[in-house]
Amino acid sequence: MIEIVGITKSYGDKRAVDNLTLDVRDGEIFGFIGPNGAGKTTTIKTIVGMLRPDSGAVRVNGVDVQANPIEAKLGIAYVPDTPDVYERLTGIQFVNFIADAYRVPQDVRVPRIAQLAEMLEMTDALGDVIESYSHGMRQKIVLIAALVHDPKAWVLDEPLVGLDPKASFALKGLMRQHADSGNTVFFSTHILEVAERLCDRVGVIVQGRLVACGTLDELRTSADSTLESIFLDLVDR
Amino acid sequence: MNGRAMRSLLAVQFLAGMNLNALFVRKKRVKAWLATVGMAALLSPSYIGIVVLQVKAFGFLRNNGLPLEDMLLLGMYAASLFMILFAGIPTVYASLYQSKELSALLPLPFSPWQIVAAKLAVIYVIELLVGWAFFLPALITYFAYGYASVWHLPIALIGLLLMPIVPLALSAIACILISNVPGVGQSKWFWYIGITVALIGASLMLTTGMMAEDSGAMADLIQVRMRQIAQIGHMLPGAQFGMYALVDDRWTAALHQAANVAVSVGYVLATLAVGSALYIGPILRGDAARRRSRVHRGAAETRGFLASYVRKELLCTLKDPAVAMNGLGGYIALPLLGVTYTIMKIQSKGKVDIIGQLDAMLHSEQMATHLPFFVVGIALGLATFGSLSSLFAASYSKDGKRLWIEKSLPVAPFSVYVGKLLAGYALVTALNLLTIALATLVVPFRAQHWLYVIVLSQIAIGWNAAFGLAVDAMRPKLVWKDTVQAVKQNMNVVLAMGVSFAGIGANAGALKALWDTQAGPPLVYAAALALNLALLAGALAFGRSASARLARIQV
Repeated sequence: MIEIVGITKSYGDKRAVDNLTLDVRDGEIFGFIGPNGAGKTTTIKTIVGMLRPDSGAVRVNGVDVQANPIEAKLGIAYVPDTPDVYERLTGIQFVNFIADAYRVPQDVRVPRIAQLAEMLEMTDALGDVIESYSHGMRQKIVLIAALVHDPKAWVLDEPLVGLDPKASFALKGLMRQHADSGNTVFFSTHILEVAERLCDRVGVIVQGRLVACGTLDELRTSADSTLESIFLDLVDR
Repeated sequence: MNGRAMRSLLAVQFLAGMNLNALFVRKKRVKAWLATVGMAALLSPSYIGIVVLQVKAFGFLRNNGLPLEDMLLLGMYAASLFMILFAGIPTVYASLYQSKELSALLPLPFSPWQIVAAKLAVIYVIELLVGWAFFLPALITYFAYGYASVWHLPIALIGLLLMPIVPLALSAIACILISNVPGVGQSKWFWYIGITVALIGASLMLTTGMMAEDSGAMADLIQVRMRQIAQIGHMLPGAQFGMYALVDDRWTAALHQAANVAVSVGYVLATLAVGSALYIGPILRGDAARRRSRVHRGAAETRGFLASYVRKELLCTLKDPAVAMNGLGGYIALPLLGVTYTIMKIQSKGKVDIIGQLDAMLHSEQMATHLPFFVVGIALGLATFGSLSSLFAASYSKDGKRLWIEKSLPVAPFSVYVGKLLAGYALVTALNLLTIALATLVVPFRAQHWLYVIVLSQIAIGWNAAFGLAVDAMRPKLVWKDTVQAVKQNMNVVLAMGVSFAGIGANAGALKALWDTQAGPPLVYAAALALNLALLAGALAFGRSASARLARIQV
C-alpha cells in the first residue's frame, strides 16, 4: 500500500508537485498519467526515497519513507525510466547484487531469477556483460532485478519504453499477476491505451496537482468517453 | 546493517569501479589481459628506475656513512602521501560526480553512509596500491639495511594499511565541499583547469622547495631536500603521526602509530559524515533539478546552416573539457615548456637558456643570409602545434551515435564537413595567433615576416585539419563509452598525425632543396606558400570526396 499525504516539492520557483495526496491500495494497479513535466517522475522518486519532499509524507506498507528509509525501501522495487545500470557487471552479477541488498535467500532467488529470465527471454544473456545489452535487454535486466525480492510495492516509471511487443506483453502479465497476489503496482505511462486496459485506477497529474483520480468508470463523463478523451479534457482545462 | 548486503555492495563497487570483470568474462578477457600486460610492460622501465633510485639512495647514505636514512624514508613517505592526495582528487570527483549509478543505488535499502563508504573503499584500494608502489621499495630497503628492528615490522604494516586514509579523506572532503559551491563546483572546466594547475603547482612547490638551500655538499643537500619534503608532509594535518611511527624508537613509535589509528578513524568518520550530508544530501533534496530550473534560455535566433552548425560544434566542444583539452594539441605543452624553461634557467643560474640561445642565433651572421628559411621554419613549426590537435581527426567520431542527426539533416555531407572544419579551425586559429603574439616577444622578426608566418602557418594548419577531418569522415569511430575514448583511443588521430608528418616532411625536403641550390628569398617564400596551398587544395578535394561517405556510415 502506498499513502501519499500532501507532498510538495519545488525546484527553485517551479513547484513540481503541489500538495499531492493519494492512496494506492493493495492488490491494485495504479496508472499515473500526465503531460511531460507534470511531476510524475518527481512523485515516483519521492515514493521510492530518492527525493525528499519539502513537506508532506509518503508511507509505503505503513512505513514512513522519510523517517525509516531503509525499512521502507525493503518493501519497494523501483524500475526507472532509463535503465542506467552497472555496465561492467554481467546480468547475473547485477541481479545477485540487488538480491543481496534486499536480503533474498539463495533458495528463493535462484528459481525466481530463472523463472523471470525465462519469461523475459534473458536466460542466455545473463552471463554477458551489461554493456553488450541492447536498451530493451537492459530494461529487462532491471525488471528481473526489481522482482527478485517479490516487493510489496512495485513502482515503475515509463516501464514499456524500449520493450519489444513480446516483452511488453510479458511485463503487463507480470504487473497483473503481482497485483493479483495482493501487492501494489504503481506506474507512470504515456500510453493511455495500456493504462486504460491494465489499470484498476488512474491518477492524472497536471502541473504538480492531482486533477483526477479513480476508476475509469468514475472518471467518465459520458458512456463513450475514453481515457484519452478524459485526459485531454483534463489537461486542456 | 546487513553484512551480506554491504559485502555485495562493496563487491559490485570493486567489479564496476575497477572493471575487474573485463579480466574474467570470456568475450573480453584476452583483450583486457593483453592491455594490462602491455601497460605493465610500458610502465615497468620507469618503475624499475624509481625502485633502483630508491635502493641506490639508501646505498649511497650507507656507503658514505651519512646518518640520513630516517630523513630519506620520511621524505619518501611524505611524497607518497602527496601523490595520493593529488591522484585522489580527480579519482574521487570521477567516482562521485561522474557516475550514473546513484539512480540504481538510492532506491535500494542502503544508508547514505554505506553508499559513500562503498564508493570510497574502491578509491582507498586504488590509492593504497599507488602509495605502496612508490613507498614500499624504500621501506623494504630501510628494513633490509637494518635501520629498523623486527619490532618495527607490525607498526610499519599498520602504517602501510592506514597510509592513504589521511590524504584520501582530505581529497574527498575537499572534492565534496568544492562540488557544493554554486556555479563552479559542478563545472567540468573548473575541475580540468583546477587539477592541471594543482599538479603544476605541486611539482613547482616540490622542485623549488628542493633547490632552496643548495649548498653543494651532498649530505646537506639530501638533508635539506628530504626535510623540506617531510615538512610539506606536515601540511596534511594528522599525517605526521604515521610518518614518525616509521622512524621513532619502540614505544614512541607504538604511541605514534596508536595516534595515527585514532586520527585515521576520525578522518574516516568525518569523510562519511561530509559525504552523507553534502554528497547524498543534495541529491535527495533535488538540488541539481533546482539549479537547472534557474537557467533561463535566450531567445531563439535564426542563422544559416553553416553558422548554426559551427556554433553547435563549438558549444559541444567547449562544454566537453575532455574533448577541448585534447583539441588543444601541442599548445597545451606551451605553458609547461614555459615553466620548465624558467626552472631550468633559474636552476642553472642562467647557463641553460634556450630562448637566449635562439636569440643569439637569430642575431648571428647566418641569420642575415638564411632569414627566409628561419621564417618559413618557424611558421611550419608553429603549425605543427595546431596539427597535433585531435579536434579534426576525431570530429565525426566524437559525435558517436548522435551522428544520425547529421545524416538525417537535409544538407549536403560536404556542408557538415565544412562546418566541422571551420569550428575546429576557429579554435586552433585563436591559439595559433596567441602563440605567434607570444613568439613576437622573443623572436626578432620584422612585421612583414610575422605577417608571412601568420599566413603560412594558417595555411599549413588548414591542410592538416582538412586531411585529418577527411580521414575521420572515411571511417569514424562511433562506438565508445565517453568522448575521451572517442578522441584518445582513436586510430584516425594517429593516421592523421602520420599524414601531417608526411606533409611536414615534404616541406622539409623542399626547403632542403632550396637551401642546397642557394635560392633567393622571393623563391623560398613563394615555394613554401605554393607547396602548402597545393597541400590545402589536395586536402579539401580529399575532404569533399571523403565527406560523401557520410550517407554510407551506419549509426
